Amino acid sequence: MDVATHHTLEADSIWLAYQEQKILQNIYIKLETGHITGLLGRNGTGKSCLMRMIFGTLRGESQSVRVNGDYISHPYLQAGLISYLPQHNFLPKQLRVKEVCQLYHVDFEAVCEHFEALQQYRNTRIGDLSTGNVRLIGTLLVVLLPVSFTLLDEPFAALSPLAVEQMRKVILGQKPHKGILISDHSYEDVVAMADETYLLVPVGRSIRLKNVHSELAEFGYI
Amino acid sequence: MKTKLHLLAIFYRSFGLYLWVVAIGAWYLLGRPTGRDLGVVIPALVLFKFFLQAITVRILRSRYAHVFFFYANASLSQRSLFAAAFTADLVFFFLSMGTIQLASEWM
Repeated sequence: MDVATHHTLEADSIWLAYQEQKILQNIYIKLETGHITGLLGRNGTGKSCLMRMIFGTLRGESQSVRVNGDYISHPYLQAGLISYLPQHNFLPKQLRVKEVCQLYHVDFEAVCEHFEALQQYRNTRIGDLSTGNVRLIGTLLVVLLPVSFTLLDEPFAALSPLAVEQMRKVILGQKPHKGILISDHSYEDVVAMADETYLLVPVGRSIRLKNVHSELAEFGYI
Repeated sequence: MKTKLHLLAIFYRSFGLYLWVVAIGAWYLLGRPTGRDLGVVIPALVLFKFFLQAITVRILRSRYAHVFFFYANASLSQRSLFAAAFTADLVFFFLSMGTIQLASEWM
């Protein structure tokens, strides 16, 4: 997919239930290249499930993901369309940092431009890195992947305050040619970066916030 | 395409040796049959391999489910990963059995 042109991704008709318990229903969310979209919600409201359904690896009772108006059943299978950062480490422990970068077509030197300290880990196996560095490399890879849309589930988790600040810059640097959906419990960071913010409220409804801080308080999020 | 083949190889390498060793171990425990005897036990060994593959799917999906996102970000589904890995597994198994058969004929 051409990253230079404007693209939209719309997700709606998303229904998900586990054993009769409704998790998501009546969801609508729109991502646009050049925009950062925030996704907030209390624990257990289905933020991660929603991201996986948009990505295409989780199937619910129903889901519809359209890119530029065209329905796509499994967005992750479309090369160059979408990337997803899950909450837990997803990098195989036996691979070396440099190899992982090559497989994702991300230049290791470009990664080190943002975080110079990672230079020393070029030939280190993922399994030998600290939890924080694994998270940092995983997040950077997903953010820097050459795709049109990026879904970030808790990108600031396990990062030090300085690393969070730098990661914010990296994400903002990708914004001009990507549509980014970001969810994190560090809600102030999300709100500060987001052009629009959605709140998931029980039971599985999405609300697009207009007056973010007052509506977050009104719905009991803060 | 080259990257996808590399990723499929990485996925297979993460458990392929274990599947091969267990299958060859089963052949050994069956008394190292060769010739016509090997032809008799091959169907049982293949069924045993299918059983091992089913267990592998179950373990990977339950204990290492997060690793599939690594491949999904490279546009590879679980179905394609398992299909490629198990095909390679069967090919290596039959190559091993063929090698054993040829070696027994030469000796």
